Amino acid sequence: MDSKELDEHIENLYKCQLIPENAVKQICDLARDIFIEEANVIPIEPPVTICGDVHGQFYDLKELFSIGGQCPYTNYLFMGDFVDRGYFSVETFLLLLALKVRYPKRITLIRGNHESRQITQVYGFYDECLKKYGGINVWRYCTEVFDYIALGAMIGNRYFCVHGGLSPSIETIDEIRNIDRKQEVPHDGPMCDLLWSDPEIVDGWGSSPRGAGFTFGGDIVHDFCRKNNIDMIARAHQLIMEGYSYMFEKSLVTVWSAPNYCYRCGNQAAILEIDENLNQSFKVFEAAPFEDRAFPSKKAIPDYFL
Amino acid sequence: MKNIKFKSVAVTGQDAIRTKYSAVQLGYYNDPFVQFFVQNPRKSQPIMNRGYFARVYSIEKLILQFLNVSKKIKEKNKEEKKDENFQNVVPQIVSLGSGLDTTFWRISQDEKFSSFQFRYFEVDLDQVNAKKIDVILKHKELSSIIGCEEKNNQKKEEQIEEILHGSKSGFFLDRKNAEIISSKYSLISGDLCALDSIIERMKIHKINFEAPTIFFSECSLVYLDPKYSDAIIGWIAKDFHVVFFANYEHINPNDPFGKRMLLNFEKRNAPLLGIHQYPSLSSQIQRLKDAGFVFAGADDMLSIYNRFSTSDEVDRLVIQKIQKLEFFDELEEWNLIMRHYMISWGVKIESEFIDLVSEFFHL
Repeated sequence: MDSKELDEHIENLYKCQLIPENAVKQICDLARDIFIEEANVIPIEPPVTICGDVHGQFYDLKELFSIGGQCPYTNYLFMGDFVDRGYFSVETFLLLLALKVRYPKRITLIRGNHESRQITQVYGFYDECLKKYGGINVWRYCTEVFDYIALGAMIGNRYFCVHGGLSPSIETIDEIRNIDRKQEVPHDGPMCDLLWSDPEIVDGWGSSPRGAGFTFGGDIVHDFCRKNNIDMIARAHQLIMEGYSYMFEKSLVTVWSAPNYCYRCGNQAAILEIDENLNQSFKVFEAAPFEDRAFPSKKAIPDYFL
Repeated sequence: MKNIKFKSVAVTGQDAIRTKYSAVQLGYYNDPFVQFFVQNPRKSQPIMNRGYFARVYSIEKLILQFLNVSKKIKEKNKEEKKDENFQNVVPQIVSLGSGLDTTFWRISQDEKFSSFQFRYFEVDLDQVNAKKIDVILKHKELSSIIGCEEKNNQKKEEQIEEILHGSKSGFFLDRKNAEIISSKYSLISGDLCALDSIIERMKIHKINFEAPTIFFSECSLVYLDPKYSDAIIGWIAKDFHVVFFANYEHINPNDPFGKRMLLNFEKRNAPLLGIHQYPSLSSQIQRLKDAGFVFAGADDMLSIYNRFSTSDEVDRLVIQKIQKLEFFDELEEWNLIMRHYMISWGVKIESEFIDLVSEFFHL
């Protein structure tokens, strides 16, 4: 695939149009070749804009780009959970993937707990692929790519970025660098914890109500930062009504980038801009205006108890 | 109810039954009857399955508590040899806006309920009931619970008398009004906005104003203009001698989740007309007190569910079991949505029984 062809696919994806199955295959292959070379924890030089969960909310991703700046003019780090829940996981993930192939140094993707075969069969991406392509090939190509996506990123050696959080079986970032990540997200162990865990006001480690990963307290975060000589952990994974939230004297930040999550929650979204001097600033945004979005069908109204 | 909205509100009943079926299929609770009512089954997301479970579990608990309290009152009256009329009455359960709900069939076959006698009434629009009748007649598993259809040329009134006095064991089908009458089960057609005609139908079905009765409603009163729902609640508290009430509906319309919820229900053409007048737990409790219930409580579904997982052993084990059924990656949303639904409960009873009620009827 030459760059002209790739640009055409990107253009179509920007319009939320599906691209042919064979193009999906090619883009996935190219992306895999890039991911395979990336470290488990990708070093990133600022400036960069950090984004949290997007979850297939395509029109809100476009809103994000219009607020944060277009790729490749703004550098981006997306901290996982590209798919599931929203109506346009296919278009959303393929757009991010195509941008990765086109501008590999400008956009960084790390893996979320939804980039998994098992979870996507529960939360929508599998069904969406089946419906939109009439078969499961596209889901297979994408989930194979998931296995190669990095687990974390490190911005200017000071900010450690991960989808979920910390793991009781990991003390240093070097230990993360040594994980064999090229597999389906396991049900437990360090790789699972990085993608599933949540910070909690209570000190120490706790069992997670999600059924995977752990909860970790401020003491754990402070220890981890000191031991690894970093200033902050940036993570996503949890819905924050205001779009972002600091914890533990700003040693941890949660960034959430899916406004009006599931078209139901009424929340704001945020992106975190890190400038070349590692200064932090947030941009908060609302869901894309109603008239700017297309819905897959008239019946697409989110579920409630009726 | 205006006809445009009837359809969309009735559709909510079909969607509800579809998610209940999904939850039952996955093992959240047992209901061998829901399969007969569902069209186009679809697997629902974990948050929906768990939320419907919480609602079914709560309402069933309140019904069971009501039957238990009724029994205790009966025993106490017997000891004190008073109120002899009351001793022979059968407790009544009335579901308002029942849609395609299967509670009657479920509790008729549930061991927990096997020691209780009761009469069960369902009230909904005739279009909804007609559908329900089709399903009941089509499936022996349902119709056999209410016996055989009684067919002869007697007058309707005579039929009803015979059925209710036990000389006929089957059910009487009134196709024209989309109603069923049997000794255990009555399906009544009426618009909840037209209380007078509902009362009239209930009298034809021989509802007993002297029998202890529980009325419950799940997401149906909230679709009505509050002047209609208040009239219903007021009538229940006034005309029944000993009466319990339970209502499951939406609250908290004014925060970001709540505002979006209102918009989404409007998009379904099923606006939550009652929510602004009763937006909070305290206003819901006051609503019941104003209506004349001497005992009233309410709590949001998140607190109710969390109490199940920490309270007595039975509930705790059930919750532990269902929490293992599916991956659950919707915690923040779960906390949000469950804070936007509540159950309120109220009781009107002689003051001597208040302690009994406050001890045994609550969530």
